[in-house]
Amino acid sequence: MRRTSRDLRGRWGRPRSEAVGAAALLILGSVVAGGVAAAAEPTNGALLCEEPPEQLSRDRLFRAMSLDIRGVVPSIEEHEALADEPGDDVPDALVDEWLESDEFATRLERLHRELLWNSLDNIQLVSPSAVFRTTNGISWRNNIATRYRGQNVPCLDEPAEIGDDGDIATTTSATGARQEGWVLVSPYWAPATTIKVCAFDAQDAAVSVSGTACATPAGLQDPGCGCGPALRNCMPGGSTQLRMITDAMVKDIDLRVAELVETDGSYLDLFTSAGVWVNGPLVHYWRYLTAFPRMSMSPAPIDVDRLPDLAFTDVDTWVKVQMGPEQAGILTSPAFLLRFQTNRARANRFYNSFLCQAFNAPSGGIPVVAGAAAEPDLQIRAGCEYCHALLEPAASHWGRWGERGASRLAEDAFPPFDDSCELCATSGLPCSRRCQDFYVTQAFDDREAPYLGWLKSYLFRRPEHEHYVEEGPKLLVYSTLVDGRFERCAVRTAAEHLLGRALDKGEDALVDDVAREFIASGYKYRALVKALVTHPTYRRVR
Amino acid sequence: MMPFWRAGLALVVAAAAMAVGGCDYESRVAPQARPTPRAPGTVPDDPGVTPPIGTDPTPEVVEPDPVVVTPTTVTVGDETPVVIDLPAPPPEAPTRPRRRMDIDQLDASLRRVTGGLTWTVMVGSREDNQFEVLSSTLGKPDFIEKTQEDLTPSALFQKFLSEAARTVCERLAREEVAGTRPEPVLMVEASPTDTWESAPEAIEANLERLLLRFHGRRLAPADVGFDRWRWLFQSALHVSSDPVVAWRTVCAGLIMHPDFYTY
Repeated sequence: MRRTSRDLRGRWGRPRSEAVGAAALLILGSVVAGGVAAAAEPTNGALLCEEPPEQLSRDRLFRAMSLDIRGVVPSIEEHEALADEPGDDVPDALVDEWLESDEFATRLERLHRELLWNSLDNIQLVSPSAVFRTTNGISWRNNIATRYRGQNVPCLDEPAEIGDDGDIATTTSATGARQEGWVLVSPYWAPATTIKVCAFDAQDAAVSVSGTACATPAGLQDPGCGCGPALRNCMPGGSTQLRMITDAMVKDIDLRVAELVETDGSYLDLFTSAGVWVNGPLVHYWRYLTAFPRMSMSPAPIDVDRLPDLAFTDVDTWVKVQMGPEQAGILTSPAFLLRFQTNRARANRFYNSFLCQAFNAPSGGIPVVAGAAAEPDLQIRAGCEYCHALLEPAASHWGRWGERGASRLAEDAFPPFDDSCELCATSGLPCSRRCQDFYVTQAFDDREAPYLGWLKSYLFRRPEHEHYVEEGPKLLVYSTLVDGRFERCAVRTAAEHLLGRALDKGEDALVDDVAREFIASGYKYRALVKALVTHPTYRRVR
Repeated sequence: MMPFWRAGLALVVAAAAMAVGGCDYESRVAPQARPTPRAPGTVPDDPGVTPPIGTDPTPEVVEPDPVVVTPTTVTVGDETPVVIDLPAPPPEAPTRPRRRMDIDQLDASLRRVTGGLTWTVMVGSREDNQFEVLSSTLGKPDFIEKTQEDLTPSALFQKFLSEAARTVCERLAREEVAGTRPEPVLMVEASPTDTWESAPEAIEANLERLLLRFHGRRLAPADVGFDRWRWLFQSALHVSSDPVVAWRTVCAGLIMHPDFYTY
């Protein structure tokens, strides 16, 4: 399956000056030929004479390389300095210097944002029940107000009265609402200030009087629980603080890419390393805000105990933390897991962006076979097998990373087969949330029944593919290194990005040659880019 | 002697062939008999002179077979189709297409060539970078609804670029004249009062500098590509009678030219 026109730069014809020349020739031609040309009615495009390719002058090559590597044209002083250098090429040392620069890191971050569709702007991380709204300067959680006050109303605009035993005094309104007053709190997002928060919402007990652990989803159901000290388990309304967290997740990937440039490390590290970048908002999020998640974020995909002590306000303090061997670089980063929330989507993105293989339907469309839908295994269902025979095993590499969120299903807590989940699935007893979310507890077909009680990623897994689940995405990366797909795609992607067009079949030799250099360099991305921008093809422009 | 009308017809047919033939500039005249090569030792125009006795014998000259050309008579109204088999063009070495800068490159490059200015608009007391405000409109992907950057130099792009160029160049010229910029960018070799009549060399030197700065092109005044910029300056000066306006116009022209925003 060949990739189509994925992530290609726009292509266009000739610059204006050339077009004007061609148009002038066209006018001259039509005047001379009179009605002859008109009778044939050729298209305008067919009449344009294609200009011969331009071999870029040294200064124009210098400019193009600067734009691709640094994202900016050279200064006039740099042009003048170039004139003093011997030769007709851009000096090697200068290219190396550019490739070591922060500007190149920014360009590479940009490329990888395109490859990974790295954005979480549409993600809501925290349950709406844990989000404040502000009415007349008083913050309260309207989603669960009825549990506190019997009605969806805020507290009274007066200081709260709290007894020695911690009881919050309430006043019953004419409509029957039990309303308390407010207390002043220094919130975690602005600790130097105080805000008015309804006293029920501001409660900071770890365990309620009725015994509920307040920093769990059950805490939202218990009127004896609030948002915790400094409101740490809740989120202010609006998107400012939320965006600080999601932007930080996105930046984690950027920083991994930038580190690759800074250290001139192996490109493979990006897909295999265990290092994670965190700042204050991220540490706060993983420590406290996952208490009331919007989606499945537990168990966390990173080891929260290893996180440094940073306050939410430490927005610009970034610390790299080494996590466990289960990590597979950007492929298990929170941003990637949240951007692609199903294992199929994760595998699909990896195949598209890093193996240059798209899961496309055949040109004639997917054949419709009567009764095919009765086959529950997509790997063999007629029509579906065209993609899913490959996609399903590939997706199982993320089998221990939760879907509909970002969580890590470690083997000690989530064995491949769980007796209790099988028992509830077969006995009619209610299944726990854990079983429902991560194990096969329902069989809609006889062929699914043998998998009851198994981790969902084992459903229809063939014996030879089962170890994919346990080995994770790193195995996928290493296996595609062995057959050469990974490095060839890295070269192809970089070449198409720099040349601004898809490579054609005749250019396989270019890919092979540069791929060999890439491997010999130790998968150094800087070396890869240098090989491409100094290739003769880069200098020939049409 | 060829009649006048036939000579005229031949001229028209030849011109039409050139026009319709389009891009193949090779001549397509019918093959003619080559002239007989002159034997060594013979005198031009006197093939019958015999070399003197005692000299080396002249090698035998093998006369090539004459190329017989059967003329095709073409008359007015004759619609006999003629098949012309042109040789296949040689394979062309791979190239890369010119590319439009992306929005980040454009923003950074505009700052670089203008010494720090970019396309901004004052909103109250806040200065908004229009490349950021309009990034989505200008094709920058958000990776949620749009995953590929649109790099076509569309009419919309040209419109915004024109607006950016006029905004930046107006400010650049104004601040340079007022002396509020750290160092001049637009009028370095020429002063704001220099005209074509008073200082043509300074004007040309300044144009040379601007072309290198904005386009990375090292053009001398004698080069063909230089004419259009000289013409633009002179025309703007002619219309406005103000060298600063003329330099402002050149600045906007340089930014809107494909040599600036493509590479």
